[in-house]
Amino acid sequence: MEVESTNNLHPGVPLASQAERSRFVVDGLVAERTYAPKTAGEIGIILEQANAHGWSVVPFGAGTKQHLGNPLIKFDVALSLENFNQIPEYEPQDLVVKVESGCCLANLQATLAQDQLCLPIDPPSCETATLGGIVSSHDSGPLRFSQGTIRDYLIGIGLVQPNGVWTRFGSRVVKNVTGYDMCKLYTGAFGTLGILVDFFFKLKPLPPYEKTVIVTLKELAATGAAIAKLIRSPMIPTAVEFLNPAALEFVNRSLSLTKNQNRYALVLRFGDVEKAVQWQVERLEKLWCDLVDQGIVLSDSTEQALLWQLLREDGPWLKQSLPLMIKLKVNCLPNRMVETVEVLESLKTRINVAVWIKAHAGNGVIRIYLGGEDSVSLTQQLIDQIGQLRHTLRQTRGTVIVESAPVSLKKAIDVWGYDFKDKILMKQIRNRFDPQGILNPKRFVV
Amino acid sequence: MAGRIPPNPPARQFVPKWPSLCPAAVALVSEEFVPAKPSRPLMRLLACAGKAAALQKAPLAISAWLEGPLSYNEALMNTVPASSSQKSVCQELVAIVGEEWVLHTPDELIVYECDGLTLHPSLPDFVVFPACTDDVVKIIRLARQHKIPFLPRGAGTCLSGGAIAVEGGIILEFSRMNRILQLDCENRLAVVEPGVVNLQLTQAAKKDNFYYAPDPSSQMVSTIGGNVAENSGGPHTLKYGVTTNHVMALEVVLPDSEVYELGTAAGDFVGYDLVGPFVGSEGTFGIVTNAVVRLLYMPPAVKTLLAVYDSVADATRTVSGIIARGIVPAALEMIDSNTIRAIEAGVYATGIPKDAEAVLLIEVDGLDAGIEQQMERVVEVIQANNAREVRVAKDDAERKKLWAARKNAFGAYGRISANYYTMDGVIPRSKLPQILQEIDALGKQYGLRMANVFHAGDGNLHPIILYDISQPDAKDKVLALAGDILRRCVEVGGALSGEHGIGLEKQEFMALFFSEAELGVMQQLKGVFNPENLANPSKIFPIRRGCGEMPKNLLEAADQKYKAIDEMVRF
Repeated sequence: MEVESTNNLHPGVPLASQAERSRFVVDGLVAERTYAPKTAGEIGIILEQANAHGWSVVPFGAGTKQHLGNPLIKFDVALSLENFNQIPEYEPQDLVVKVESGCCLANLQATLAQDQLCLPIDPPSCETATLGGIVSSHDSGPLRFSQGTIRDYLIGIGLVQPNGVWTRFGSRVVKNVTGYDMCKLYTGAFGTLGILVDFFFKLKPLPPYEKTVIVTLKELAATGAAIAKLIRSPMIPTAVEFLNPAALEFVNRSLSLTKNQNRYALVLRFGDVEKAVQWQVERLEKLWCDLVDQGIVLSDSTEQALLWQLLREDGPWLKQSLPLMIKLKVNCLPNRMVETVEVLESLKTRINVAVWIKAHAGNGVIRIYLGGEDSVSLTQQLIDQIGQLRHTLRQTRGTVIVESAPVSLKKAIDVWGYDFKDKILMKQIRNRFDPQGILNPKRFVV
Repeated sequence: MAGRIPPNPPARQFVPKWPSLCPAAVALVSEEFVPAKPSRPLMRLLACAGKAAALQKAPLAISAWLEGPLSYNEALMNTVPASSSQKSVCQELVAIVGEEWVLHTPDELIVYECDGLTLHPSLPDFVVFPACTDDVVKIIRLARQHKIPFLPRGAGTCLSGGAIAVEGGIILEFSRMNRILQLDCENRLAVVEPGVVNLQLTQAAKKDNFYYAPDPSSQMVSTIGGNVAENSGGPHTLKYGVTTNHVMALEVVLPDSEVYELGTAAGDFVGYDLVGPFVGSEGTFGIVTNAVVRLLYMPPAVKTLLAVYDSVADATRTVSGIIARGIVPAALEMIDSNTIRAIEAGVYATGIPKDAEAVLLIEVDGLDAGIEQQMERVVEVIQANNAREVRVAKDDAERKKLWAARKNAFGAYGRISANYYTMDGVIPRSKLPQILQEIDALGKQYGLRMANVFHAGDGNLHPIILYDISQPDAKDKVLALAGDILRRCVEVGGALSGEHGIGLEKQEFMALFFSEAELGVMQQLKGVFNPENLANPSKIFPIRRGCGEMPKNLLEAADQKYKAIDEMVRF
């Protein structure tokens, strides 16, 4: 690690290499200082200094989540966790692993796969995202339908508190009610309550056999009926994804799955012993025969992998050739998905944007990519529409988050839009844990 | 607090008499019994029965109580006069919920002096039965105004003292708030009030083939509110997770007497996950007034088997072997020889050979297609580890019988020991063979018999120390042994509690597991929800002595209470 000469404040803490400096950019701002500590003690020193000097500190893994959040206003320190990339403890027979926060999910999964095990999550940026980033953003993918989110697997956490003190909560045991469940508090906390250093996760066996079924449907209403039927059946798909016609067409461009035009699609993944998978695929045909117009079964593992990669990733969807691209995440009750999708699709004609929608159908988590002209008027229209949608969803505690957008748009809107009463409690937690507000200031909900 | 009842009330001679409720009492102790519309007398009966069950003498206690000599009114005459400030609080409570729903005389309160942890009884000043969230708000507002501690109580089955009013104050008893507000299969969720009994929810959802997965052994009586407060586990958590994995949102009343909604059933939570830490906060954050919980589709196929072993080591190796092969059974429970003998001597005898050293109860579930394959793989591991016998339940009746033995194991200890202490510790699963040997050796060292029935698949141990309180030194030995076992659990990478909670039982052990900084961070979080420390005070965090010392007076106090209650029910 190259040490920069201006590092006169605390020579013990290594800086990130110069060549890598360009990596530490958030909302167009470049970090004033970039540290790559090697021990929790060094992280503590940086945080103590940050408190003393009023620096803003942005924890950095692979940077795949840095588009999230309200715009950063000043960027004093990028705290890279690149040196915390190990898997210090792994007990396959316990189905538990201890992994450092800078380790990328793909590396962890590769190690686990040698023993036919996995951490059963599949968030976007699977190949590069680090576990620290995934825990902090509580990001998830299609598998959440059956497997839950990373919140359900995190059983122990080691972190440096905002005041620089080392703490550990939970442990390597899969069931634990010793004290408060602090792991949950740090999950999805956007790095605002401490620098996460390592985790214990519980693991699951990899499914021995997998198949993917894609069905196309003419009507949006039919997708709702199909999902309702599925949920009331004994079938246990591992994932249930929804695509609107634009999204299906986009998937079709790379995989040419269907010739049918202008269809909605549901994509189901089954993973179990072969017999159980076969039975479900056959059963699905009967269950949905009057609702769907085409069903395609993928058995080839490469083909399945490609499809699921496309379904879980954001990157390809945001790289459409339109001047303005934004991504929203809508949280609604699962049975409100269809009516919410209807509203979102109507944006096409109402404000003249392209609308790609994919959703974790059984969970009420919808991801929307909107593309259009980069104009002031469209930006304002989008902001108005987001406001209206938030208002509609509010009654059922649904939310709309702007996950990716140009800084100009992010500056004009609160990307989280969260104004429920418990925000008071969140503010108090933030103030008590990080009274100087050094960690990711202004970017999070509170 | 002004107006507290002295900690040791005069011994009561009160035994109410409601012979007409006898069938209900019998139903409660023998079958799954859930009152649809509990009346106040019925609730008193339930509380007494719960209490008696906690004392391991349920059937006897109830019959003695029902046959007692005094009427309710006669008994009321024997009450201790209350102080004036207590009277005014009492009047205000009566104004909120009505006279029917406030208990304040010692004879009424004594059934609330402890929960499943009988070691540390303490009388509340009032027990109040709110009917709705608004009642709770008013009660908390009153408590806050008078700086009176308060805590919630469901069925009182907590084993770590979570529902004991250790500082006195108000117990909010939730048996009136027992409605299932919504069964929403489309969204795979239910909205329930905190007093809904765990099993009642599953029974209600059954008609749509759904169920509520967390199934603590107490599920016949324990409430969702209590399960949420304690983050309850159960045998099937191996595959399906504990309570926290099944709670999506909560409506809570915090000590500021405001109602907050935490979490959401609509997709992901935004901001900090407040539901996560609230579940398992043991009533120290505030009071849950309704919960949105996940429902799961009932697996169409379930297979249960019992494997009998001549050595504990073979049984534990089977557990490790199953997990290591990547099989996740729905449940993987272990029962040791002392427990086998206790079960086989009782009403839930299943015909397990009495000379067996250990049995494993293993359940796999899923689709009809493929379940045989799962079962075959499990049986392979069992046979590779020298099982003497494998019994597969042929039908649902046989399956229920196997489970009844497991779920009623704790009650069965009464047959082989005068007293017993149920511990709860958790270790990494691969340490199971080692720690079981060590526990056995420790027991021998202290000259105490031990039994073990536990969630082997989770590494969640329940060592049971069998003792006779009348023996000299018994309590010192029990506590020293318990402390040593917990210490070993932590030393091998485990934790103090897998599912029973910390409460009063283990607060002095917290420093074994947490540094001062870590305890400080948790206290900070508690301070956000409960800044004046009125919600369930003096729990979880160490307060009495130094690290890892179990207060000796606990068993002593328990001893006295046993005597007092024995006297009360005239054994």
